[in-house]
Amino acid sequence: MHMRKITLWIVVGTTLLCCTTVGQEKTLQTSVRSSGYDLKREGTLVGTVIAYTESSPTPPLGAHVTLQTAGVVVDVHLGNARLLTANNFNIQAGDTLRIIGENVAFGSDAPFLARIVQKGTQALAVRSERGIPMRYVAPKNSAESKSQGGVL
Amino acid sequence: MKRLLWGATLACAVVLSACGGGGGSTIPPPPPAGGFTLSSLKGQYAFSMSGLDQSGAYIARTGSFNADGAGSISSAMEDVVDLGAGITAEVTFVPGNYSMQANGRGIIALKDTSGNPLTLTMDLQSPAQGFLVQTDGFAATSGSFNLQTTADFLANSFNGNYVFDFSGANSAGANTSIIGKISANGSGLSITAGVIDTNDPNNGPSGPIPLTLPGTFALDPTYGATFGRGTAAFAGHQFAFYIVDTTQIMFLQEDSQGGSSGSAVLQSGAIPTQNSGFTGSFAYLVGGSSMSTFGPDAAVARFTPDGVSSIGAISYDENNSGTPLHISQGSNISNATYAIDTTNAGSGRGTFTFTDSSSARTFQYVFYLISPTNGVIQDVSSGIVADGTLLAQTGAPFTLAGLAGNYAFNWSGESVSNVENYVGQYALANTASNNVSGVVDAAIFGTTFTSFADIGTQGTLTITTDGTNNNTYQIVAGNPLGTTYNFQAYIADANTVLLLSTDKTRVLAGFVSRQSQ
Repeated sequence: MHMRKITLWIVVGTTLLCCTTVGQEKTLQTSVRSSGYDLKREGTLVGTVIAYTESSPTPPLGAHVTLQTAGVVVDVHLGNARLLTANNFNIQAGDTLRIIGENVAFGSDAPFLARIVQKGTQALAVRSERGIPMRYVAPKNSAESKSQGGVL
Repeated sequence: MKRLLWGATLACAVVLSACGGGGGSTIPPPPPAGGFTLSSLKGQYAFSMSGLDQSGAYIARTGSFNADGAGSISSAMEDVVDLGAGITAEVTFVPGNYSMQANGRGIIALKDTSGNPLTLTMDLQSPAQGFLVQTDGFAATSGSFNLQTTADFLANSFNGNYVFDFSGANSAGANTSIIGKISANGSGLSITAGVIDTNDPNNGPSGPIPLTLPGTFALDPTYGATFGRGTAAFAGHQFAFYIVDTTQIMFLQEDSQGGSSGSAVLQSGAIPTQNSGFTGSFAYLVGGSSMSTFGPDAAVARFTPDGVSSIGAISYDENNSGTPLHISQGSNISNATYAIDTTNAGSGRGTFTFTDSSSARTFQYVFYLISPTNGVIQDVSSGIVADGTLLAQTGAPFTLAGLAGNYAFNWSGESVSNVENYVGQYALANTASNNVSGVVDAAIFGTTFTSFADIGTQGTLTITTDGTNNNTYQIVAGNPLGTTYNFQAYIADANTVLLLSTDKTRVLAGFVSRQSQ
């Protein structure tokens, strides 16, 4: 018996049959995909790195940094570790970081999600303004780009 | 208006999510029950998975892995299409490993030759097939795998009439559905004939389009003999494929027009050529998107063709972007008809339609039969692009006593802020309530990727009357997932249940399949 996997979609980026505008599409796309992240709620953390890991067992998946701020220790999700590495953004214990982001409710937790990470004069956007983690894409024609499929 | 309602639902859902975070229940996973061991996964398997990448674009992967029955994956490769990255890639993996619990739940851990991981959680239906969800956080894909017959890794294995269903996205990112029938001539390496129906938001339903130019296919000279891989071209598209056996081939569209994936299955049995050949009771499940809400849409239903031209006993459930709809047969139903295509005679193609006055909607479908009891189906109702599976409904009346046993399942879909993929396993008991107990693995992609492993679940399947129409099915997943899922369940037979969520905060659809070990 053949049973096909069911795939559900948000309609994006196309000229549709019915009467609508591109603006309407973008509105829905934004709300559906990123309702948890709102630029208006963003705040700034400044603190000293206690620990950094490229792959934390604590959700969300990806790089995490434990930051000692003035008042509290905060676990911050930095997104894709490969993006940091590819941009030579090295994080070590004792570093001082300035992080723009916000807490977002998810499951039974509300992790602090970084959007921009700054160390000294180096700043890196790790998340889009809609809250989607930036992905690392190897440069075309590089040796790494040929193996990109494996991490998708 | 519906957009506004969906928007309001979104706002509510964010609050519910936040509030629900601390309110979930702790459900310890039951001790894994069943007869699966490492040796249950032994041999070469083809897999097909699809979903969204980290940018929210369509991604699909189709490939093959070789399990040794002792915890090692000796070899594996895949083709990947990622429309977000604009990548089409062939990826080979170094030897990996897998685990297996008695309930058929396991984890496959692979790394490509550059060290990039691919981690898949599986739930076996049997040693020959299972469900998969990607849990490494690099993309939100799920799908299934089937045991390959390596002796069939030959060009002449692709020989006969095949019905296919490919679902994916065009180059603009809009979802597309392509279903149809093709005829392949084995060692002649040609696809000699065919007819296809396409549907997408740009062009709407195409109607039946005969193939005017022959297609081609060939085994991959490098990976054909080892993985069953080949390439094909027909209907203006280019594909990679992996042979499962002579009866099934998994395809992945790889061209500039977008990406799609699915299987082609050899037709068998007496395929109806007239209306008189299409009788009995059928259930179907379709998923895709709605042009009215621009959101996810899925439907599950049953109907009975009478062997003349009418369908009856309609029970229909839909969830359009968080708005559930139920329709039962009554005076509200009119123009309920079907027709087996006699213009494309022998193709297995047919259509059916019905109008519901209560919702003021007309529902229209195209289907192709793989056999008299199984087919693929495309929703061509106004404003809908969706496709899925059509199954004969056999073995009614359905009872909990008859259904009791162990099951594997796969749900996938969208919530208000996430793409969600689930696989799991549970035992169904012959009791009126709390008759479901098992585990679920979930991969959730929203503003972050999060996977939940081996979460305890409890729930209740309640069968209504003879079980042939909509039945209710509720699953509660314990913390940290902490979510209650409500479904309409349509039972195809004693081994297969089709599911559609009725929640206002998520649209999920999927299958539950009885485990055989």
